[in-house]
Amino acid sequence: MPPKAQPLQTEAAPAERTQRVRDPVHGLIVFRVGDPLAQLAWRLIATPEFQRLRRIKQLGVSEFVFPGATHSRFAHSLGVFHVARTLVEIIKRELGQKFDPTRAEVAVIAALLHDLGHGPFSHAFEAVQKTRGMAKKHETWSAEIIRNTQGKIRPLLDAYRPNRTFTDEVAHLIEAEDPVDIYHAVVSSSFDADRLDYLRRDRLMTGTGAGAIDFDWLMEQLRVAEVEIEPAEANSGDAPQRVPTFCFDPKALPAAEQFLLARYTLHEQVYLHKTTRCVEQMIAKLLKRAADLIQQGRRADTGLDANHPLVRFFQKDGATLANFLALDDVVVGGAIEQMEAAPDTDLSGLARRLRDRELYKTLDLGWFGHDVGRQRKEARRIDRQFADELKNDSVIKDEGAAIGIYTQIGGDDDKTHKKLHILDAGQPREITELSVVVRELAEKKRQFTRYYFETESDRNRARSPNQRETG
Amino acid sequence: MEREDIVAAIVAAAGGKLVGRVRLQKTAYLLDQRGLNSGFDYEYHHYGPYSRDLDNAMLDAWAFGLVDESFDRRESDGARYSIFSLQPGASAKDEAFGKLGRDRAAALIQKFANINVTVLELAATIDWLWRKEGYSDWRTELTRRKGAKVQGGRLEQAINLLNEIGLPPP
Repeated sequence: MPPKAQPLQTEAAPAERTQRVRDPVHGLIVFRVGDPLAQLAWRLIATPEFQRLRRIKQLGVSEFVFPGATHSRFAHSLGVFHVARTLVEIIKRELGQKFDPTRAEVAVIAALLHDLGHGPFSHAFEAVQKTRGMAKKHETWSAEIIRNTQGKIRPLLDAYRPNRTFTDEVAHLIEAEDPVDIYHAVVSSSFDADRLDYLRRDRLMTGTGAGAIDFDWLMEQLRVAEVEIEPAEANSGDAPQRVPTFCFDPKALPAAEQFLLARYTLHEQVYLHKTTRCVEQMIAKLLKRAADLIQQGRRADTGLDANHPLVRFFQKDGATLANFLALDDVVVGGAIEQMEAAPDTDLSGLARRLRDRELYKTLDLGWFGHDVGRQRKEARRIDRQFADELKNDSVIKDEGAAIGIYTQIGGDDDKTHKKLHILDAGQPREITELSVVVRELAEKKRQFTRYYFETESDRNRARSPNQRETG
Repeated sequence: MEREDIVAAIVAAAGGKLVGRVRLQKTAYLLDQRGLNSGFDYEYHHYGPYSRDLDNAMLDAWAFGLVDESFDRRESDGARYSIFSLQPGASAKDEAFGKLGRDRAAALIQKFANINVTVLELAATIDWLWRKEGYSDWRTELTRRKGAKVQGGRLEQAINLLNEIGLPPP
């Protein structure tokens, strides 16, 4: 638990003093008196927008599978801030006189605030918004929260520098898609502060033995070099754009391999776990149903009060920043409890099953063996066999889980600045060229197709197609 | 017709070989705006409009022996990229080209296959920004999202491409 936060005082700044937080991953995180950036960070942490992150779990519903994984985005964000400070010191070491302390400050605060825009049960919530045609990336929400003139974050950032550009610089760094300089790499790169915290924190809190990384050695061997940011093809034509990013000294190759394998393993074993995905699908189905009823003017059928934050958010034109900020895991968890008494039986049934962990029955195509051709043929057969059920959502098909060595959820190509580079004869080369282990995993993206059935009998029919005929 | 037939048709029309995942995705998106009617859903990703359905269709095309994916490397930094090749015996079905028709689709696909991939990315993103996200000032938003990629005449090339293929931005 962090020490008691100072209450926010906008009229008169609270007296500065050194604050300390004990963290299970990084040890002591110190906000030293006399360090303006650390003191700014402490004041930002005390805002309602940041405190909301205590009520959003880092791994969403993974605790259905890994009971220890109840850590919050609040703890993660503090860890990211801590790592960002370390990365900035490395940039300073590497750049020497060219180091830009003002950009470094932007990067550290952006790292602290990068997750402000996560919604409740992030992935399930984002999926619902997507099906409603209202997808907005969490980075976009984060930037809006930071720029919000009605919020508590902006006044603190505006006051930090006389020219009042700090707010926009922080927001822009979070929402920028492509890197502009090495400071962006602190927030988004193959070796960014976010990744360096969550890989270690999620491993610790889930209790999985897999996925260890040689953190200190990697940090010691970190270098800065320029890479092309355009999609890789034979050549990038005229004047390809190049930006500086993190890469590693050749001595770190084995540790860098382990780092990528750790990430791959955590995705395979934790983030894309079939039961976790099942719960996410069930919550998404429940929220979608609630949203549809609210949109149809049937709010009473949801069992929720007229002023419930979910009702406000899902009503027409309700996806405002204020309504978004009123949502967190606790609010949605409470809503699920209320929905158990919903007149709408679809909703009440789902709510009860979620409360009692009476989950849908999962069929992973791996059940049919490792041959992908056979798996895909079985998928076609199941699609035909359960065409009606797939249409009415009593069977859910999930094709959204895929991992590669860099990406976890597909994508066009891997972002260049998210690829890992090793210095080879002084020049950065992509690690897949130098590492046989990584190359093997990079060549084929692994995709998991799962079906989730309301009933066990349906799953059994899907497993054994002749069961219907044989009774 | 199955979804993998669309992948096979695109690769076949490109001359049996198409380079790059980004190129495949942007090609499909722009073809859809011209009437391919693939049925794929798109969302916004790092390189612009992206379809997970197409990604899955590609895996189907590989699993069912229609299209193979191999890899090569960029000379400058060893960055790996995909090369999609039509498998021996596989061919394009007419219905896979939708309302667009084989000839018009093939002309567009060949144009997309021979253009700088960043220009293609920008063109698809411009179309996405005004058509799907409703940005009237799509130039500002494009520059904000794509940064340095719009430099070096690439923005102008992307606009020219959109005009040439009948998808002029407002």
